[in-house]
Amino acid sequence: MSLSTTRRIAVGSGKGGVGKTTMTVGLALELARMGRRVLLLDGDLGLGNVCISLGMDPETDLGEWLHSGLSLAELAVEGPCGLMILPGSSGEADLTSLNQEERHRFLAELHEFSASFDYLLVDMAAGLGTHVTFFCSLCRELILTATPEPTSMGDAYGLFKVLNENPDLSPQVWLMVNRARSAWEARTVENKLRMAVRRFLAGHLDWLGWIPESREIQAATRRQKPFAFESPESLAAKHLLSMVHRLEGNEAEASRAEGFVEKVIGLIHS
Amino acid sequence: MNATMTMNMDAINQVAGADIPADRCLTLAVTSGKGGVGKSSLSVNLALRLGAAGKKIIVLDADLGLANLDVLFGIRPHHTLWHVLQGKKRLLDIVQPINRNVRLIAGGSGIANLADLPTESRMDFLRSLAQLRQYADVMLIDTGAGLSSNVIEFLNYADEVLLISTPEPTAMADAYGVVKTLARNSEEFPKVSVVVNRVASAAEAQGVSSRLISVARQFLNVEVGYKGYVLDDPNVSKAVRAQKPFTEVYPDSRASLCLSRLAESYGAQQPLRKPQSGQSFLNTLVGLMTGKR
Repeated sequence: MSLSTTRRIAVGSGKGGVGKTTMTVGLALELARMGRRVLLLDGDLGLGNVCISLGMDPETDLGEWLHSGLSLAELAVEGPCGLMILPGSSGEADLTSLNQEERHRFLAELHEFSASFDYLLVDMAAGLGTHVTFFCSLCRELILTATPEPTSMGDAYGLFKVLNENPDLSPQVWLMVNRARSAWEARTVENKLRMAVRRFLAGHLDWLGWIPESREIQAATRRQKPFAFESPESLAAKHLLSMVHRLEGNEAEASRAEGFVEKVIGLIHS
Repeated sequence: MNATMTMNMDAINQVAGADIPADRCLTLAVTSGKGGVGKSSLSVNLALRLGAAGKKIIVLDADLGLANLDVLFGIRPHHTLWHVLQGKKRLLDIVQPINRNVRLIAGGSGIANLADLPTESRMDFLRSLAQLRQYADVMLIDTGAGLSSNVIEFLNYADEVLLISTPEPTAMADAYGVVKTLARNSEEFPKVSVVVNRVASAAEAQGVSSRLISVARQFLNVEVGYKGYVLDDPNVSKAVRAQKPFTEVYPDSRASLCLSRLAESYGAQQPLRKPQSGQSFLNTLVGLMTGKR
């Protein structure tokens, strides 16, 4: 991959609480650990959680972009492994409703600032409000996060539908299945979503990977620590690494991180 | 309200609910800030527990855009709020029976423009909602995650806000974010009661709620109350995956018992009225409105 091209990737799920922020932070840190320059934007402009999930308490947040006129470069804070973070604000309803002019200005500045990074990852808020169109107009790729719960699958489908209905947005969509109890269950979620998307929306999903339901992740979240740092030998950490390899186009490494069984189950399902 | 509808309302009052005083309905808005803390599952099961105790419940799925209550109740609605906001149906037309005492107003799913409703349609909608109040003991409004203006509006509309959190730091921060927004954007700070979900013990719930309450008092100068807790219980997740309400498939589980206790705090142990014989109140109402009776 050429280092001069920034990959801009939005992470969304429709439904909240499916582990989107935890996984986005996880992916960003793995990429940073591999030496990639990564900018992570907390796209939940009303209720940002990225910094809370890392136990960071920055003095400024994206709310200041509007109020004090600070640039995005000035607002970015450094997290672990050199990861740069644009922190979301908490309980600031006014930032969720930027006007048209401010939106354009924000996106232009974000586009320019992110150009000096290998990756821009945007952790989008739950729901299907205008923020989806807002961030997806900048991102050419989307990581769709779903869990095996029917409500989550329904909402992931809803998010895909919204993107599909807007002719200006046609990101490549990756699927990440979180909180699955087995590879089989994860692939079942994939199959259901893939079929629905193909049949009703004539769309396509690329498989990114899955993360097992894990007490370790829950415990790390409560301690405000990245789970892959706390339990590097866990299955969840291995699968996270595999997803990063797959994102980078390195399928051989991805399969190696996941192991043989995954490959077999993947073949059966595909 | 037009003339025909006024006539219908008069007729209904005579047929179905002449004994129901209009202001008796308690409107509860269930919210959390953060998504996935169990808000919708809690709304569904609280409604069912209250309904089982003989209360008349209308549940409104106000997660405009990503509605899920129909899935959690295990039904497939023919018409949703989408049809109402498109002007294709009236609110009364889409009231769905779940059981004898519980009715659902289903939300639409996968429709982006619902999530950004203009103020005027919102006001119209709230007016129709107010008309429905007179047929229920409790109206339960399940809001979406986040702090959109739609959510804030529903919270200000309700008599009481049930604020759901879990012990996770992000969930607590977002619950605080809701209180902060309400404290800043509401003319009068509404009654807010904290319910802590997925706790290991009552003590953990007490800890979470007392932190929220003291931070709200210290930094926002507002009073928030504590309502109760729901114990962490794997049966809840199992029930959600099976698309069945957990209080019905696992009535003796830890979570179900907590829900019963929560329902009791809204007077579920003493039904306000005796169950009516024959057709129940909203069947009559819906039948009259749609002319199917």
